Amino acid sequence: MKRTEHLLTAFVTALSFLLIAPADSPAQSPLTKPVEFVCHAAAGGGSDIQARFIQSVIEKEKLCSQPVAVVNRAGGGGAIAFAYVAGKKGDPHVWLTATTSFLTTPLLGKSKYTYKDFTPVTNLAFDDFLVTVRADAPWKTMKDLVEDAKKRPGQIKTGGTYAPGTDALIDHLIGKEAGIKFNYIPFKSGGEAMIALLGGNIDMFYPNPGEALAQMEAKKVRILGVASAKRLEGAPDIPTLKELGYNVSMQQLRSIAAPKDLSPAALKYLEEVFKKVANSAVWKEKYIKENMLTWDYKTSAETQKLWEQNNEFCAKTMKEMGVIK
Amino acid sequence: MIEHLLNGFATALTFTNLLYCFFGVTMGTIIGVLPGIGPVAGTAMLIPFTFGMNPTTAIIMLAGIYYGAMYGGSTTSILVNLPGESSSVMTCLDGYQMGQHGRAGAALGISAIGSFIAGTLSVLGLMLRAPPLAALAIRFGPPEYFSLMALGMTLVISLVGDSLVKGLIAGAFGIFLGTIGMDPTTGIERFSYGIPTLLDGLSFVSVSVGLFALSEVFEMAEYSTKAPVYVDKISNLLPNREDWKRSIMPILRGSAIGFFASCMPGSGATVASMLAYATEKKISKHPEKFGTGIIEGVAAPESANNAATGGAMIPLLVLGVPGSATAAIMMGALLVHGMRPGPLLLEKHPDFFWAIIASMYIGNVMLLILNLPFVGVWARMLKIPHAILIPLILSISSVGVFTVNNNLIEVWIMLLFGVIGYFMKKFGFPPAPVILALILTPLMENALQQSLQMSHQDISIFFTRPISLALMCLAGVSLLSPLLRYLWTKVRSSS
Repeated sequence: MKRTEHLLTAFVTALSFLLIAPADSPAQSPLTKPVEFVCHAAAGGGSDIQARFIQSVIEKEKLCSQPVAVVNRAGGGGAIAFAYVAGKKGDPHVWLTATTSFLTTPLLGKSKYTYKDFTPVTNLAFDDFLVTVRADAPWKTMKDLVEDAKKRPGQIKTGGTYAPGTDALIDHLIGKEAGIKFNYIPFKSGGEAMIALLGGNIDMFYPNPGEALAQMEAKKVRILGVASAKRLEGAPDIPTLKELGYNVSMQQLRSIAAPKDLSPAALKYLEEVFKKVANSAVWKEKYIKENMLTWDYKTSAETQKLWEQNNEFCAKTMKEMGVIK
Repeated sequence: MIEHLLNGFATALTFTNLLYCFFGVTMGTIIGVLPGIGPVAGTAMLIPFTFGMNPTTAIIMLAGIYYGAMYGGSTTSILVNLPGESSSVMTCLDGYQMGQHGRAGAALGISAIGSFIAGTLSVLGLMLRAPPLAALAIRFGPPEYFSLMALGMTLVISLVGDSLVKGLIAGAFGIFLGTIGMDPTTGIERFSYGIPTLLDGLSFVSVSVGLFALSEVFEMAEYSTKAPVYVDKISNLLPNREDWKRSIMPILRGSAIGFFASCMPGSGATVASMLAYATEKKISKHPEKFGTGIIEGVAAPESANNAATGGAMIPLLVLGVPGSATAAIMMGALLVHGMRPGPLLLEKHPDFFWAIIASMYIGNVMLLILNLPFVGVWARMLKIPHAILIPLILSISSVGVFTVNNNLIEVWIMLLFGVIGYFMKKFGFPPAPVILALILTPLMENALQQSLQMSHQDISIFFTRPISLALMCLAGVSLLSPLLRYLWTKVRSSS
């Protein structure tokens, strides 16, 4: 039995490592207990990695008076996490990762809590979408692709995550702008879609820069354009779709939400914490730059506006696609 | 290659890397033993931990958790019919029966040794054959998946138990359960009754813990006045010569199935363990003995789920695309360290690749040394009286199922399936086909819809692509084999 005890000790020690709290606390913190940082997606996805990265930045740089623990409440396109956090009205100890699904899941009627049921805290980054084809594809430019697609409508196979994820919206918008139609095959994750692209089962898809860069370096794929307003800082050679004459600009949000009815003092404190996260060197170097995200920091009021605009845009696009009425 | 490997060992054998490898495999074993928390959650929890390490050390540790969990997963399956990991469900079938017949030691022993052999073989495969396998893996598109799943479905037959009709009813029930949740392509809700938890389908963990462990607990409670039957029979702690003879081929076949099945992104250790078990039963000379506690039934799935860990690393290390959820977490950890796994990884960072390979050899040895002495300790757990064991299993199961998504509804689902499982047992319905169908149905449906979308609703896509056609033919043979065998014996006896 002795060995079992050793194992137990090791396990408990490991757990306690995870719970280590930052030592010093700023004087007027409105937080009185550990923070539960709810991630709406399963462990291992983009949002989860982001949440855990934020947690580590906060912990290392001692940015928050209370320890932060990431808790995954995945399921229902985020609906489970949204319902949980929305129910914690006025509690600044519960944070939520919010990406574009935070807007689209309620629009689809899968969650009764819309962005209006939360307090916007900040938006920390934007993730872009690259129009990507295999390196041996016949299309060298967006123009080649569009011309070919016009000749054989519905024959070029595109892929992405389940309809209607953000990439499905982009697929629709490109089709609409260029007056063409693709055959969209949904996959469970970006990784599966990438494998389908490399294996020739689909012809085109819309990965984030972080997903596509390694393949680009190895010359396995060619990037025809980026669906954002500005060229990427890390890859300035890629033209934007706008420059190419297709008015498609859409980015994945990386926001943080909190329950409704926070006290002004609490909201101010949270804004401060995330401002420090956004401006920390680790965050900028290790997270933003490595994943080729676009850096951002927005106050609560600005985030509110960002959500409103994006929500309106998603609603309009999804109506066009016929997925909602 | 030898030179590379030696360099890899040099890196892996540094004190820090050895320490974290050991920490990883130990954590992995514990995570494997606990139900609910699987390698995915386990590795994700430790990601912040890796920020201070260099990328090689980080992946050595995370990979250790991954394959370590496969060692631990069998323990509770064998002892109390509680699958510690989804990939250990198949181990319950014969492992638990072996425990009940006083052979828990042999079952635990063969699963540790089988895991070791399979784990080592799969690292060998990863080392020697990674690039060609990756090239094969990307040719596996939706139609090929569909055909593979169709082949898997035909194997349900081999899990039916005594009554074919009851077994098929159980399989059909599993297919029904597999359709609960959002339609994979259109997002239309099915049988979810507005419960958000059900949108993503029934969680496999909750259902399997309910069907296996809880139904067993309920039955134990029913007969709790009887003393445990196996008090003094844990004499032979390790597999004997006869066990070895019977296990070695299942271990090798299980390793091969696990390794190849998991190279294909998206299938993974659970599907691999089911395929391995069903294959063993199909080719066995005494298929009727499966499920009664024979060692082949433990050796095959436990080897397969371990071999799967090496295979699952291939898409990540060679293509730079994660093929499983755990691999996705490792990829995230690498990105954080400024290392972008991709097709150039082998060229640009050969030192990293070889150090990981070397550490996996070392880790598997550590796990064998770590796990074998425990066999005796674990086996003695069976002496715990029911009055203590029942509440213990109940609480461990509940906590484990809850932790997956911190969702209480999962615990209710587990309890519901405990009750269903209890009555299934009373009326002679086997639980295994339910589980197999529940796992395969969503994968199969997904692949079907993707394939038909690709071909504009033309089913010939399954028969015009060579790999898919070959798998379909295999499925046909598997389905018709009992009939063919019957006709063959008839022809022979009449002539």
